This record gives sequence, structure tokens and C-alpha cells, in this order.
Amino acid sequence: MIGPDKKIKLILVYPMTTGRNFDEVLRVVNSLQPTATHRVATPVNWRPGEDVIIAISVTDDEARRAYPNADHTSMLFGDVKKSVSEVSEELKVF
Amino acid sequence: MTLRLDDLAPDFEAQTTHGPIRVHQWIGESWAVLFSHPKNYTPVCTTELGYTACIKHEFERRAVKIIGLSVDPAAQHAGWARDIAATQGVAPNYPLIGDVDLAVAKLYDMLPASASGDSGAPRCCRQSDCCAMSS
Repeated sequence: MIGPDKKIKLILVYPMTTGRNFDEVLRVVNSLQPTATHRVATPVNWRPGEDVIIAISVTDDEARRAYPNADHTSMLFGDVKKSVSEVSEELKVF
Repeated sequence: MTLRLDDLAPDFEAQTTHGPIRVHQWIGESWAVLFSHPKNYTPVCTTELGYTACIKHEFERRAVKIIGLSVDPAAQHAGWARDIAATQGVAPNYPLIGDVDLAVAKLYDMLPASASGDSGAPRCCRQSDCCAMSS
């Protein structure tokens, strides 16, 4: 998958004997596009409308200002902050 | 050459079923999916190309262009398109690149380790039964 900046965004390699899963291809597009324009990441098996993760590059103070209604509970690795679903609703998702 | 995430996608010119393209120009401001298949009439890819045609609108609504690639000449994709339409219910409605000299496949590191690198390398033979099974 190639972005508008002509950079490689995703590489999926399948053997000839296994057909691809295009649901996953579309799911990745759904994640790639909002995460390219918002400082968020999407967790495992994420689908549009579900909670996203505020990117670890965002400081705690920035996160509280940008997403005042988010759940700022730190998860296992300290810097990982989970937002409420309203954040993902702001994103251009399908 | 090994391509990695965030590398610049190599630009190239190629013949396609929709005419000659330069890929960066073709992508424009869109996103793009470039997917390869080993050879025309390979059964797994027949299902993939048909399904991709079925969900092309899902890519379009996300501003994603799709383009296929195989080592067969672009002019020979038409016969396969008829097979895809017959077995999958829809023909490819997006361009297919004819990468006869493997230039793009090599540029994007799409060849398996077992491939000899020439277009005569063994690949799936045509098995129409397999195509029919997936229709």
C-alpha cells in the first residue's frame, strides 16, 4: 500500500497457495488514513468507532488538553493512553 | 533491493490494460494498493482479482486506487479477464500491469526466493476446476 506521499505504508506478502483477506486490507486502510492525520494509533483488531490510543509521542499534558474527555488511565507501559470512543468519532472513519 | 515501510515507493513506467502509466503520476493525491499475482489464470489470483473488482467501491470511497500486476503482457490480460468474469461474476475494473520483464516485480521485491527471475519460472498452472470451485 502506497500513501499520497508515495511512501510504502504496508507490505503484505502471501504465498501463492493462500488467497488474501481483503477485509484486512480495508481494515488497515481504515487505520492508516486517520493515523496519518491524527496523533493516534489503533489497537489490535480495531474497527472504526472503537476506542483508539493516543500516540505515545503526545505528552500527558498535550493529551489532556487535546482530549479532555478521554480516559487517561495509563496502561501497562506508562505512556500508553487510551481515549474514549468520542475521539475515534472525530476521525474520518468508515 | 528490499523495500521497507516509509521507503519511497519506486516510480516506474508500465503498460497496463488501461494504457501506459507512470505510477507516481497515476497515484496522484490518492492512496494506492499495488498487488501482484504470479501469472494469468492462476486460480487463487483469479478469485482475488474477481473479489477486488466486487469491492472496488470500498476502495474508492476511501480514495484508494487499486492496480494489479503480473508478468503477462497487458494485451493478454483480456482473455483472463473473461475467465474471471465467468467464474467470479465480475471482470477486473481496474488496471492490470503487464510486467513482462519483471522490472516492477524486481523493483518492489515481489519475487519469492524460489523464483529464478525469468518469466519462464514455474508457477501455478491453469486449473479451471479450482476457479469454478470458488465462484
